[in-house]
Amino acid sequence: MALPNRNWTMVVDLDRCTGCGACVVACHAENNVPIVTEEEVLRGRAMHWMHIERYWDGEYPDIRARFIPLMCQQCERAPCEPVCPVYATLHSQREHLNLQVYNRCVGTRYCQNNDPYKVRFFNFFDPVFDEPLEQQLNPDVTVRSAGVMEKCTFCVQRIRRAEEQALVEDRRLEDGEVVPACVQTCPPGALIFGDRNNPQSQVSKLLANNPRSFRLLEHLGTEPSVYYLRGGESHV
Amino acid sequence: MSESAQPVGVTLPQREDSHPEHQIEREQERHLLLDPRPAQEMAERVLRPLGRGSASYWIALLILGGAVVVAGLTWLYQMYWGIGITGLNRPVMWAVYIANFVYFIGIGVAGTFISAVLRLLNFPWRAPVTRAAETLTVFALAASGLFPLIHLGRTWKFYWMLPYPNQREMWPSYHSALIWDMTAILTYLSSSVLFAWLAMLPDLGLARDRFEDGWRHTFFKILAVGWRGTERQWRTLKAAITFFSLAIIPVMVFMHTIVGWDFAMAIQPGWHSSVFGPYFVSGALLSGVAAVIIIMAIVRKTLHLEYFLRPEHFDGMGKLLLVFSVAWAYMYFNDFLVPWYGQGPTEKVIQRLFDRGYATPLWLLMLFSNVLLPWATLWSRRLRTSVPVVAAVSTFVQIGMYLERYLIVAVTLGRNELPFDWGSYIPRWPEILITIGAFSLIGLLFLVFVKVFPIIPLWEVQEGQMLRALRRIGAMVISTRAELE
Amino acid sequence: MARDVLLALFDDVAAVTESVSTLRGMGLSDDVVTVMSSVPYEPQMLARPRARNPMPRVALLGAILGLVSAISLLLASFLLYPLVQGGQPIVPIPPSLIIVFEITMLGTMWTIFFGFFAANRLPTLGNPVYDARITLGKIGILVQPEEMRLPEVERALRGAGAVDVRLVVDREGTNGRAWVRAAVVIVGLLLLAAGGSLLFFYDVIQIRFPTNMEHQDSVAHEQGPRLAAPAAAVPIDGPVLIADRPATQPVPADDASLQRGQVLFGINCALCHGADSAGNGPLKGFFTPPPADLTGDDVQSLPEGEIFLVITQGQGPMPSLAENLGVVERWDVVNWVQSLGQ
Repeated sequence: MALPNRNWTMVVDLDRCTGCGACVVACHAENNVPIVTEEEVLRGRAMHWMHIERYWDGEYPDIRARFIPLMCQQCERAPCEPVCPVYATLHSQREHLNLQVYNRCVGTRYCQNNDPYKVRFFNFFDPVFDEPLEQQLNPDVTVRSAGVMEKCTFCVQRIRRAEEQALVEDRRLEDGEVVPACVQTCPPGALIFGDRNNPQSQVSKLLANNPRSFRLLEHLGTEPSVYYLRGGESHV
Repeated sequence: MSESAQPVGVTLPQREDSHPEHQIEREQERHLLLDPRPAQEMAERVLRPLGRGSASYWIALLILGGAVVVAGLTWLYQMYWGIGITGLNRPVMWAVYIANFVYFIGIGVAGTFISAVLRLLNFPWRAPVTRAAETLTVFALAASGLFPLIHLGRTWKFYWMLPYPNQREMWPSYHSALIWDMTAILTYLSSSVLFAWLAMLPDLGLARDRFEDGWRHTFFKILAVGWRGTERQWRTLKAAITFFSLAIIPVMVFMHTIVGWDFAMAIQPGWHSSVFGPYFVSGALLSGVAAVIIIMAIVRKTLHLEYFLRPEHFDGMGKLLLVFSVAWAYMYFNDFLVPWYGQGPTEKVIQRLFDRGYATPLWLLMLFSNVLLPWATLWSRRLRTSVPVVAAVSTFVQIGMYLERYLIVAVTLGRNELPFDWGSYIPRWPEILITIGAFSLIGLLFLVFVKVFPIIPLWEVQEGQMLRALRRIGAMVISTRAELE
Repeated sequence: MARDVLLALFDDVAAVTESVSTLRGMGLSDDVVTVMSSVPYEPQMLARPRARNPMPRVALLGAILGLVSAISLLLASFLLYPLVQGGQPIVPIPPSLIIVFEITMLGTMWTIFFGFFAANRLPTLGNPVYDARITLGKIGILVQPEEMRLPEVERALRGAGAVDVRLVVDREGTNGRAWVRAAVVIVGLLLLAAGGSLLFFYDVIQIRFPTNMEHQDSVAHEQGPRLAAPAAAVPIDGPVLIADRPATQPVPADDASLQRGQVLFGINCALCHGADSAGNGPLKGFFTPPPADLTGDDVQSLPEGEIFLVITQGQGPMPSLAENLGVVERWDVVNWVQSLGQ
């Protein structure tokens, strides 16, 4: 039985986003993303599949912080895909997701070079989960070894589980059933996730003729699946 | 035409004695191809280095071998602990290892150029240089081919990039420029080895005949595969070499173009330039010719091959160096002008790193070494015929070309469209040790090669000498070259 | 078939040319004469006929082989793996052109190389007729006349100025058949190597290399010993093992409970743990580690809350009995198990 076509889309309402970073932590928890040491972060190897990009604007005392949550944009024409020599990163035509196959990755890191959003993360060392953090690991998600590239997957394990559940129960997948970890956690509800193929979904309604919506680095022609809704003063 | 001839109608003070006998002597001293010696003597000169090594040879061997071993151990250490021991970070995911890869492949290109292009164009002075150039190609390619493996996150799975049938039904992706790289390297390396062997056959026969017994005789007998110099063998050899040359020249050009496309295929600002293909070819030719000059200078000095490698050869190579320096400058200006004019924000930031940022000393040194120094020195024939000068200019060119690769790979990657994700890169000890090891590997391979094989292609020199003669026109003695179809 | 041949050495080209003309004048065909030299002379220099050159056709053959291989490889790759990468078409033409070019040239050059070997029947096995002085500048003429003309030819060669004329026994003849045999053996060995490597590629011979992330820490911990929740942890639904407040037995261990416990034990637990509770039930052989000996100190020293949790949630190979036994029934079994040690 074939699963129906989806167009998974994330909408980030910058007006609601407070920059609290709960989404970052939720993503770490859900996807077994390792914490790298402080020394490694200073070397520029921080690993946060979802992170808050923060820019300082203005001079003291009129400084503002402008921030935007950034995760893999799941581009329709992802520049990171064709450069992988071993097909470790591909596009799912059915779901319009950018897939990363961990155990196929040989670690050439070409995908990260070609990623304009720099949302791909490389495991420079074997991830270390100090006790008792290894108890908290999500068994649905692979723990990656050194030498492997990883990135946000729109919590594809949750998407799969929900779709299989719906298939088994012989019903349609409802809007709001698939909730990635960041969307689940966001306190002000700034992250909305859904299937744009469904005209009744929240994301479809939000994006229809919305003058606030924009996508990052659209001029590059990557056609991201993440839409941002322009926020107020504090945002990019 | 003799190079010491004065243009007709111009009276210049006669600095040299123009007596015909003395002219003949001078021509013979200047030009290898006008100075044939008995075959026995020439064979001896070529094969003399193949004897026992001097103390300094063994010391050099030990030092270079040690450096290679240290680099190998470093690589194993890196494979065990992970790429994290290097200086790589996000966003600079490619740095010294890839710069080395590009740099060594670039050096390799010149071997083919000298051996194939100059052979087809019948440049007379290329004769004694071809083998050193061909072996440089093979060794440089071998060294460079290690770097795509060294920089892999999971090196032990490198074979997944090869198209082999397997139980998991996996296959590499021909969309990726890295696979084009692998195909091109496979083609170029295997063909260069075969080409070098083919061109060496008559000299392998010579060595087999001169070493009448011992392991050397057996060794050369196997490698010479029964070369006897029959008409048929010569005919087919020359035809094979000609066709090989014709075929390997586009492969050589394409090889470095594809390496340039590794960068051009990316949308990284500073890389996404359509001139990168030809630009990298011009850079490769420049650095490669410079490398051959250095090898020639070292070989000439240490193996006492002054009979074969004369100032005229360095003069010719120096001219090539100047030409390629001009070509490189043209390409670089192309690559510089377009983003400068377009004023794209990220491109401006990258260029600012070069002309007034932390990379400025490197950028200036690059321009000095690749353009200023060659242009200031190599126009003069007097400087070109001085081996130390040409070798010194070539060394600077090597430095300049290495810096060019480093600037393109490691410095440019630090800037992109999203300033939050900018970074910079400092090489750490693994990169330094492995780079030193790679240079040592090439030196080591050469050290071994010159002791085992004749580094001068004697048959090509003798063929050249056969076709050259001195002819007297009036009071002037000039050299003439026979033209064969 | 061994036959006698003459090998003459000359010092200069002029003498060689004179000999060649003389031999031709004597009626010997050009095929029985071979000239060997250390530098390539043009055939016209030696007054020899210009022969055909097989190399252009060899090169063309190689190019065609390369082209066909490349196109097959690419079509197979893209059509068998119709995976979308970056919105590029399934069969991208520009990358294909690059690969076609490279592999065509690869085919051309390798075919030229092996064609050269084949055309000259190289490597030469055995000892062909040759003199080492040829590489020192002498030019050799090898003549294979009929037996009876040998002395006549020898005289002609000496007369033309040969430095040395020798009668040599040529054992190899054209060396053709031996060479073909050798070539077949070599190709056969290569095919064998290729076939052998398939054994590795298809995992017939497995080299276990534990780097495929098969061993996952994210599932491993669920198979380990259960840890007590930390003292300040937020309690969740259901029975938990809180470090300083273990779950307490709500059902007193009176006779009725013990009796119920014994009966339930016999139904649910004895199959694995044995009727005597010593861990030797009929199913014990199927589990690693084997069912625990409930009479031993390991189990008897456990707090009652832990035993309850083991029954409720299972442990290792032991499944959860929560669907078989209600809460009170589980406490009855706990009472029974604890009475075993007394």
